[in-house]
Amino acid sequence: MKASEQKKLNLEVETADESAEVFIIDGRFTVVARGIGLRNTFSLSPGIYTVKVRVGFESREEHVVLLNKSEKVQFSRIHFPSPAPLADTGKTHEYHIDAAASESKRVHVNKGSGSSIFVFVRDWTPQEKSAARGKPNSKPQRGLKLLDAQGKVLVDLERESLSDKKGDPWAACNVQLNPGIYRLALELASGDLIEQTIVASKGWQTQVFLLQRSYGENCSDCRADLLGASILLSKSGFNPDDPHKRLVEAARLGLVNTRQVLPGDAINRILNGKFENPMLGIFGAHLLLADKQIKLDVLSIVVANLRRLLGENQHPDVEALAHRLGTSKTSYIFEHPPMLRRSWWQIVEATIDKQGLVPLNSMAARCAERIWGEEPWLQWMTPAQLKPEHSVFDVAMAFEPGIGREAINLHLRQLDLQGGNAFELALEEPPARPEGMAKNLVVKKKRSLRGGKGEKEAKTKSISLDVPTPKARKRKPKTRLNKSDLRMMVKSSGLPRANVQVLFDRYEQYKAASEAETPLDIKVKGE
Amino acid sequence: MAQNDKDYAVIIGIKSYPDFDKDGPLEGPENDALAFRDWVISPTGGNVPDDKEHVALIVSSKYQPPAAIADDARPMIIDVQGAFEKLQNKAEENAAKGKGLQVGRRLYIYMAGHGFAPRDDQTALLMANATRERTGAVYHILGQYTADWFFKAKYFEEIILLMDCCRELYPVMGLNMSFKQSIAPGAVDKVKRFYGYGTKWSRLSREKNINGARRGIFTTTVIKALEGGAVDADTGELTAQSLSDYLYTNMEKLLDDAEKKIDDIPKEPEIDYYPKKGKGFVLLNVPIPQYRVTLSVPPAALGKPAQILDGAKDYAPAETIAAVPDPWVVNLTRGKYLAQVLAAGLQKVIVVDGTGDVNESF
Repeated sequence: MKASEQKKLNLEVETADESAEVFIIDGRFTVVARGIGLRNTFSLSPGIYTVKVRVGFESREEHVVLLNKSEKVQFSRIHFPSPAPLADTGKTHEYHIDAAASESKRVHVNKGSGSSIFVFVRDWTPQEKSAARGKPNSKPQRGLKLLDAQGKVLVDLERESLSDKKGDPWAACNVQLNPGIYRLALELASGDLIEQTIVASKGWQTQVFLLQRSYGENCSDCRADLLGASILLSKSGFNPDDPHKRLVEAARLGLVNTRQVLPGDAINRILNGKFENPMLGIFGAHLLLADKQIKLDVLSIVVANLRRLLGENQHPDVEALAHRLGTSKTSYIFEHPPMLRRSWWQIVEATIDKQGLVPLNSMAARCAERIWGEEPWLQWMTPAQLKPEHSVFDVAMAFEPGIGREAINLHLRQLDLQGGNAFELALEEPPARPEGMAKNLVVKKKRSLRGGKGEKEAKTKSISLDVPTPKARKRKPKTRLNKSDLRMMVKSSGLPRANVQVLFDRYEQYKAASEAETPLDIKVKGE
Repeated sequence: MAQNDKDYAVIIGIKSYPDFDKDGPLEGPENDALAFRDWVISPTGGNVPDDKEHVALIVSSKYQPPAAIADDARPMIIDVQGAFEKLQNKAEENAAKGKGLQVGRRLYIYMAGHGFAPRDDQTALLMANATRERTGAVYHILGQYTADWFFKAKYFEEIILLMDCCRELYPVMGLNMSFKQSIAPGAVDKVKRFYGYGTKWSRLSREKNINGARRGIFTTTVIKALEGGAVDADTGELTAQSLSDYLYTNMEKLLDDAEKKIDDIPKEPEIDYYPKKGKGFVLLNVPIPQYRVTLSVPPAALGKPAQILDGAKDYAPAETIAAVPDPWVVNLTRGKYLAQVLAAGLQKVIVVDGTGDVNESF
């Protein structure tokens, strides 16, 4: 037997981060061991190894020669970039840290009591200036507003924040308010509006930290980076040295990178319901669910603790997690979207079995048609030319003229593949777009795509949108999809069940109108 | 050597997007698709027969003249989906001939172009006629959904999916999940998969000039790996695990120092493969390449005995010399080595990572 098969040596790796991922890569570049946390000891055969430590998007490497004795490697704290100006993170200045800590403890705007939302937005420019980056944004809070649940402006953060333009500018606003659902809205230079839910929980301060991002090609397109937001919860202002905040930030980056980055003791705290930081519980639950490290009976402990901290039936993301336990485990109705995308997709899927979960004319149903952005936050975009008070019908058929068509085409393709008749709903753009956004809809009958010899235009009919008058109907349209069709359409369209049902009802009406061969006089809402 | 006539490939590289090109065209996707196709049909690579039945190559330049407006731009979904439907038809033909509902051994799916991630578990390649307002079901193809469809249907024994797309932020308008589900018994356990994604690039960061051509960083690294960089130097096998490890370790090496500091530029791909036990599965056997290592030796060590020890083989000598010259040039396989001139008290770790020749000094 070779000496190496008998002799194992210890390699001890010390990091300075609870959430540091540690990879041991052997002489053949194979990852032979992994760990997470402050201290990991690996038992290895003699050889040359690379130790790689990663936190967020930052990593460090060191080669280690394990020859005839155990070795120890230490890594200093990795300054991963974070919009929250935590100590020992990248992309921050001392004056940002000081400002965030002090301003979070003041009240800048008083709109209620019991909770608060603290928004701290800043710019950060690297020391090495580049032409692409340009000067710092002197007004990093430009275009930012805090809205109430109904969409009314509560605080114009652009005007009401305290700001400092020296160096890399920052702006801060701590709004004292009643617990509840709010929206953070950002108006871009193009006039488009991006929004996301911010939940204010009783007894907690919700802290939103933002850097800058370019939404276009010009410097004037720079605005707060909502996609990369860091959102923390605290009972007593922002503490840049709080190690739990650092762990929460690492967990957020874990969601972005789809990597489970929580160390063993943090996992145990979450699974035993012994965490006191709700965001760690919410992020942690999602990370563990994605990594299949959590069973439903344990998830119920996590949900129970989150409800203890944030209130029962108060936080949409907590109640979305409760839905994983079964639809009877929560009575929460999602009038408003949750904060996380992962929560949203769980809710959408849950509507297959519980139709009223996302009511049709709710904010959640309306934003479902406009989901935008990427992990981890759920955001939606309203383009400049659409009035925000349009109903879901108008949003579906006017702003997103394709979405109804896409959902319907999808269903048609299914029919086609099953050998049914294929219709394609094509959209003819009128020369000018009137205020009511009227559209003409042309129905073309096509041959089957499989085995067909190409498109044959057998029949065309022009129909304008909206609900047909009853006398135009020759047959009563089907009003309910079967469960299997419903599941397919919810999954593929990404829309809650009620939205899908509306689109499908429209399709049925169009089909009825086409078969009736009767021109319809239909008006678009708002005309 | 007999060709792998039971292997098939659908290779898509879209560089022309009339609606997006005003922000700066992508050049790399077509170059990358062609490079991957070259590897697939190469006798020392995938060794797949170079014919239309086995290799579907769908690239922008195939459609001439280039479309001025998005409405006319190709390839469209019908071009791409048609390639997959042909494979589905082939399975049905085989079933009708009594050969079972299957197509072959391995399916390569390669996609490069503009992409977006409508869900955290799905990445989409946008078609040429997509616009910022039109990204719905008939304007994109989903990589994982398509690969998963073929694995669940068990039409192939192995599925290799590679996506090299830049990441765009668009409204989510519904996913193209238009294949009727077909689940074959035992598919989950029997069909081997390797899915690799370099899909979090911004438009600016996805590609750079590499050897005079615009090339994607992810695809360039993949091809280097498949050409031998990722081969196990002990067995000559290129496995799912060795490919995955190579990509994780080496993709960053194509970035310069300034690029490495930019958060928007991903340093690692996303990889998933099955089975996960041991080395995964063997993708191919490749002659074990050697790399030229040039070691500068200081005057104090010249003429003294020197060794290069293999750090993966219990420090067995890989090279030994009685009187070391300057420079000392050797050929080594991929691995980590310890060079030493004991008489001069010199030691140096040398890493031969499979990306190319190495220059080091004590």
